[in-house]
Amino acid sequence: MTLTIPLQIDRARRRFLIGGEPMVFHCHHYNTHLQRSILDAPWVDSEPFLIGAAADVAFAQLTKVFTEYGAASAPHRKMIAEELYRWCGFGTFDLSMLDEEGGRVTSCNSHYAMAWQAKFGPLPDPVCYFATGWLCGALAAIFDLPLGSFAAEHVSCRAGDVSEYCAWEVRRGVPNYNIYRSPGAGKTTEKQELLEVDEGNVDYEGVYRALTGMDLSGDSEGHIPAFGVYLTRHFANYYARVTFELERALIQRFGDVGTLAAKPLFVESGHVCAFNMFGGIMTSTEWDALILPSLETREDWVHGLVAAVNALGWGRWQVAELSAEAATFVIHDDYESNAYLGMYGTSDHRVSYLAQGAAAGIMNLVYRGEIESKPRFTPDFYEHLFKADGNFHAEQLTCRAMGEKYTTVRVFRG
Amino acid sequence: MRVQGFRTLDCAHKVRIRYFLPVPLDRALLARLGGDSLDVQEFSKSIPGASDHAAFSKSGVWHATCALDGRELVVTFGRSGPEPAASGDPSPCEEAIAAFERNLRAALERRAA
Ligand SMILES: [Zn+2]
Repeated sequence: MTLTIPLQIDRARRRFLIGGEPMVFHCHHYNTHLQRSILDAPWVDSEPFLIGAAADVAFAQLTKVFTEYGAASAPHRKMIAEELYRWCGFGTFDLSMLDEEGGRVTSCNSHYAMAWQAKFGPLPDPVCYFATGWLCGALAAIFDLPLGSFAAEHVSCRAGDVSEYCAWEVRRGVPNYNIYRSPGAGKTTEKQELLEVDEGNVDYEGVYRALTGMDLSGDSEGHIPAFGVYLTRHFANYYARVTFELERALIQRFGDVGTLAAKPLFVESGHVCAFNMFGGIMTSTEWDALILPSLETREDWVHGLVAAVNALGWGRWQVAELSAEAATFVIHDDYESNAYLGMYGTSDHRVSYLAQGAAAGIMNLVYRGEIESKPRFTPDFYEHLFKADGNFHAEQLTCRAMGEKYTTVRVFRG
Repeated sequence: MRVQGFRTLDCAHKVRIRYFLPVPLDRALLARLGGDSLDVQEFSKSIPGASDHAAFSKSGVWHATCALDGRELVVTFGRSGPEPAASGDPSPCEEAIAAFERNLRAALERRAA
């Protein structure tokens, strides 16, 4: 049985929504790097929020989607949940053996397990926190129970070098994770106030139209191989929750120093994202077909990539100032800010960490990476782009989460 | 007809070969490569001067992409999903690579004939 995915494209804000949840593209490099950064943070027990954040978004999304489809029976709801999970690139699940008391479920294709193995090699501990939480949230929605009605244990994981599959035991009872309430679409702008900017020789609207028309969805095994990476259409509110919960835990323990400790972790994950996903996009045959024919100057490469970023669900990016030495990116409805405002209210500090890392990454790739020669994205190349002298750094000048109109990131050579 | 191929591993340890062909790629040539699915994006309808793009695959064996009218064909071999970093041995793909290259050479010769 196939499902028509209830994807809503919010063209005005450059966002995607499914069941009221904003969805963003991110690749397996970012997913695993962000999770490892969070797990490695000292003195913080991150498992309750890594699982709880996933349970929350799955519950919120599926509850809405089931209503939209008028899906009343458990088998129908399970089919919808399985299809959405696969379509988003998270892998596959067969939920048929689970009932109101829980049960055992396995997957041979868990995105996080396979991505972790590929990126970091085997790990004895299970890594599929997202899948664990998603199962708990999905089951609660399927059986019309409150969020937090199930606990789950990830009993074996393919990320290790023992098991060929991941397995979970889900049981009705006290949740072994934090309970949150999804902010849904978050606090978005009423209307984006766009700046008059130079867009070089790039047709931003045409690129957006073309890329949003592509079928970037999970194959039969729940993978989205594209642009040289494995993509997911992930939950913006998941990324935001796990990011900000770690930051808040560090602030609670260390005061202002906590913010200073958190920021480089998240900005670095943004670098990893840019390096792999943006690098993959700019060296792809899709780029050659769609964008390369328009490019006449080096600055056009920045515009071409920013035009593509606008089709990732990350909000609308504009380039307000650009030279070989510096750039200013203006971001309307950046998903980190929208989520922060919806989850925690107005922030007292700047929180668009992914945007900072990604913006620096764009400039490093275009002005220091000789990206037009289609380099290989090796660890040495990463070190050169982001750690060597003369690399670009980002500074966030304004932040929507602090009540400002839009988010601004300035990038300059360090 | 000479076809250049540069072999590498993608970032998830799968064998990826960039082929540079002596003639531009078109749908007729792609149809002869033995795939079981073909998805063409008509980018030229969105942006004047852009090329259309093809993604095609033989399920579980290889996945290929190219700009139509371009000469570069990128093929990733192996089953769906990332490979473990430790696996390192691409030999299970060799048969699939050989079969793909046979089809590619035959398609190019037929085109030249
Ligand atoms: Zn696992």
